[in-house]
Amino acid sequence: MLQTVFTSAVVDLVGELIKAEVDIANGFPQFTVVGLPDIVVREAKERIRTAIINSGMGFPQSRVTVNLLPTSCKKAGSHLDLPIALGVLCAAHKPLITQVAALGELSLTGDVLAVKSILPLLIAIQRNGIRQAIIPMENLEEAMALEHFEVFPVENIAEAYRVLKNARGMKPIMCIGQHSVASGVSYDGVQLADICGQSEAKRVIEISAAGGHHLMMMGPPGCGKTMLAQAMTALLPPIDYEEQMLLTELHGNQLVNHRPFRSPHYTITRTALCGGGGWIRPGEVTLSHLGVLYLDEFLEFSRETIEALRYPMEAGEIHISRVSGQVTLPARFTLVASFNPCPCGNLGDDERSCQCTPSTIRRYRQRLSGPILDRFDLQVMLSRISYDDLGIAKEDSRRIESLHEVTARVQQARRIQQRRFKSSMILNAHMTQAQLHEVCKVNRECASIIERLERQYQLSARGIFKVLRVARTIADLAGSSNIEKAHILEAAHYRHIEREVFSRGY
Amino acid sequence: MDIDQILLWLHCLSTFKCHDDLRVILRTHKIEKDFKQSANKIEGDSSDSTDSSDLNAREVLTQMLINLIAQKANMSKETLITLMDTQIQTLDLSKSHWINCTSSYYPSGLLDLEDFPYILFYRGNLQALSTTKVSVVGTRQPSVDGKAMCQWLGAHLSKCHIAMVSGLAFGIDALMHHAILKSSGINIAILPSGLNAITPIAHEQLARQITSSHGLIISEMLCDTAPQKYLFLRRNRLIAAISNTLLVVEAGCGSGSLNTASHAIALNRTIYAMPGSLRNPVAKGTNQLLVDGAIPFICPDDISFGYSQAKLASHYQEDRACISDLGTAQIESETQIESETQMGLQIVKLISDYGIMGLEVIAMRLGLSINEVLPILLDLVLNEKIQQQGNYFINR
Repeated sequence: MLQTVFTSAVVDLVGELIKAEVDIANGFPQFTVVGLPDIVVREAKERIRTAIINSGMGFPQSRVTVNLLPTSCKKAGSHLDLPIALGVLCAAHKPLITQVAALGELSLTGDVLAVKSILPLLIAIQRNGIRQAIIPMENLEEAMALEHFEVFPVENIAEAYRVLKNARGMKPIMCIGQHSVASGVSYDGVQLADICGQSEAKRVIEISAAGGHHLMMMGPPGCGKTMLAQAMTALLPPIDYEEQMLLTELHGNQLVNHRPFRSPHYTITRTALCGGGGWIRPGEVTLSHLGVLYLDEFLEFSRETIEALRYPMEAGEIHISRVSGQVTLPARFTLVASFNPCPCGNLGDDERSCQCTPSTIRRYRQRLSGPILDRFDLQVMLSRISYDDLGIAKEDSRRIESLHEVTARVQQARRIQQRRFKSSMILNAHMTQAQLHEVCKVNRECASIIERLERQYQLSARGIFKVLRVARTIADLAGSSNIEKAHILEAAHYRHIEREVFSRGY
Repeated sequence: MDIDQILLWLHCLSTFKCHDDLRVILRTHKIEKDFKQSANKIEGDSSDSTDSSDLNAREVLTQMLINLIAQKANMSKETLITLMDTQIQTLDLSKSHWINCTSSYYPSGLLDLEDFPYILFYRGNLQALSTTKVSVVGTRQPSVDGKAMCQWLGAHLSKCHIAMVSGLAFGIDALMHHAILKSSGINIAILPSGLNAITPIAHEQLARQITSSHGLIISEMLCDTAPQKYLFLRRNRLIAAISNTLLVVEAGCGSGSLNTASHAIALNRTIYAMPGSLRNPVAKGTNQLLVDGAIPFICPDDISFGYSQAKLASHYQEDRACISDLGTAQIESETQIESETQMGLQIVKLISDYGIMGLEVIAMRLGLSINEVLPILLDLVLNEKIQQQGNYFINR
C-alpha cells in the first residue's frame, strides 16, 4: 500500500517541497527511510514508532519503506517526523489521498512539537500549490503571516490523524497575513530634518531610494554621511506580500517586516559579504536584497572584497560555487558607499590643508577601480559643515521639506515603476538597454543636450545609458512622463566626481 | 668625431657627476673659451672644409678632449665611444634628437646659467623654442581658485601665441599643459629625468599629446636617467632660465615652485605671483613672494607681450565670452541666452560678484532647491558662461 504525504525542507537555503512516500509490504518487520535523510531524520524512525504506539494506534508489523522525494538532495530537520508518521498510519490503516502537507516534530508521547523556523517551509509549500498544512499548535502565530493559506494546528499525532480522516470538528484556520507597516521606520530614528544643510546629498538619497541607483558619498569626516544613509531607510517604501515572503525565506527565521538595512564593518571577509562558507549561507549582499547595503569607509575594505561586488551590483544576483554544488542567490541591493577624499580627510577643504602626498592620495583612491566606480550612478561630494552653516537657516528662504513630502514623492515614483515593469522588484536602476529604448523616448531638445554632454565630457554610449536611467528616475519623481532636458542635466551632474576626481591625474 | 659627439661625451660625463670637475679642467687648461671659439669657427667652416689643415685642427682638438675626458672619468677611450654609441642608438629608437649649445635654436636664456647644459635632448617641434616663452609653475595640490586660473591662463596664452614652459608635474603644471592643449597653444615641458623615463608616469600620455600638438619636451639628462630629488632641483633652474618671465600661480611654503622662483631671482628674471586668499594654504608661498618683491599678477596684459590690444579684444569678442577684466563680467548679448534662464542671468551675476561659489550656497541664495538650480547651472557650464570645478562654480 503506497501513501504519499507532502512536506517540505530547506535545501540549499531555499525551501523545497518534499514528498514522503510510504509503502507497506509483506515481509519481515523493518522500517527503512531512504532518500538521503540526515542523522536527525534517520533517528526519527525510533521517535515515530514509539509515538504511534504510545498514542494507542498500531504500528504495522510488516516491511515499511519510506522514500523522501526528490532523492538527490539531502533532507535535514526534525520536522519530517510528523509527515512520515502520518504516512505510515495512512498506509497501514486507511489510505487517504489528500492535498494536505504536514510539518512537526514528534515526542515519544505522541505530542507534536514546534518547528524552529516554520515560515520558509510553509512558503515553499504554498509556492508549490498546496493550500493546507498541518502544523504544530505552537507555530500557529508565526504561520498567520501567510495569506490565502489554511492551517490545521494540532497538538498530538492523534489529532493530526483525525484531520486527515476529515473528522468533524476539525476545521482549518485561514491565515490572513500581517504584512506591513514600516514606512518611515528609520534606523536609530534618524530623520532627514536632523541633518543640517547638505541639500544636494538629501536630493541624491531621494533619487537613490526611488530608483534603486547605487550611491557614492565622498566627503570629510563628520559631515553627515552615516546619518544620511540611516535617514535613507525612512524613505524606502514598505514591502508587499510577495517581497515579504521572499525576504523571510532569505533571512531564514522570523517574519521580516521592513526592508533590510545592512551595514557591515570594513573588516568583513569576502565570503561573509558574498555568501558561501562550508555549508552555504547567504552573505550580506543577499541579506540586503531589496534593501540598502551601507558600506562606510568604502576604501578601507580590502580590494578583493570590493571587487567581489562588481557582479551583484550590476546583475542583482550572486553565484556561489562549492564542492557541494552551485547556488544562485538574489542580491538586488542598493549600495550606499561613503569614504573620505584622502587618508587625512582634508583634501578639497577650504579651511584645512591636506597633509597627504600625492602618491598617498593616489594609492588610497586606487582601491576604487574603474569598473566599480562606473557602477555608481549617483556620486555626490559633501562639504564640511561650518559653525556658521549650522545657523544658516535664518537666511534660508527655502522650505525645509518634511519627511512626509519626500516619502510621498518616492512612493509615487515607485508606483510608476511598478506599473512600468509589472513587478515591484524591478526598478529603473535595473533597466537594460532594450528596456530603456522603449521606456525613455527622448525629444529633440534632449537629444541635442545629450550630444553636447557626449562631446564635453567624452561620455561613452554606456555612460549616456546610465545618465538616462537616472534621468528617468528624476522624471518619475517629478511626476513627468517624458524625460526633460533639466532631468538629463541633473543626472549628468551626479557623475562629475568620476570625471574630475578620479580620471584626471590632478 | 665631430663637435657634436664630443659635447655628447661631455654630457655623458655629467652622469658621473664630474661635470664640474671637467669645467675646472677646461678652464685651467684655458680650453673652454678657446673651445667655444674653435667650435664656432669649425662649425662655420665645416661646410666647405676639405682643407687638410682645418681637418687637422679639428682632429687635434678632438683628440685632446677625448684624452682629457677619458682620463678624468677613469675610463678608456673605447668605453667612452661605446657609451656614446648606445646613447645615440637609444635616441634614434625613441625618435628623440638633440641640439648642442652652439645651435641657433638653443635658448639664449640658458646661457645665462653658470652651468648651462651643453646638450638638450628633445622630442617634438623645435621651432617652439623660437617663440616668446613664459614659464608657469605651481603647487601639486592647487586650490579650486588655482585650477580655474589655469584654464583661463592657458586660453589667454594660446591666444597671444606665447609658448608656455612648465614641468609636467602634478597640479598646476599639468593643468596648464592641458589648458594649452585644449586651446591649441604651444607647450614646452622640461623633464626632471630622461626622455624615456617620463616623470610622473601618469603623464606619459600627456607628454605624447604635447609632442603631437607642435609642442616640445626637453631633458638635460641622458635618455634613461631615472628621476631623483636633486634632478628635480636641477630642472627647476632650467625652467627659470629659459624664459624672461616666470609666473608662480600657487605655491605652498618651501615648495619646489619657490625654488624655481629663487633661481629666477638670481638670474634677474621678471617674476609674477598670483595673490591668494588668507585662508588658502597654497597661497602662502606666493603671498610671501609678493612680500619679497614679485609683481602681483592682476592684469593679463602683463604677459601679453605686445600682442596688440586690439587683436586681443577682437579675440574675446569672437568667443562671445565675458571680457576678462578680472572683476566684473559683462554679458555680451542677452538674446544669446534662452528666455527660460532669467534665473541664469541672476546666477551669472551672482557668481561674477563673488568669483566662486558653491552649489549649496547658490541654491540657498536664490531660494531654489537643488534639483531646480542644477539644470540651469549645468546649462550655463555647457554654454561656457561659467566654469565648474567639482561642486564649485566659477566666474569665467
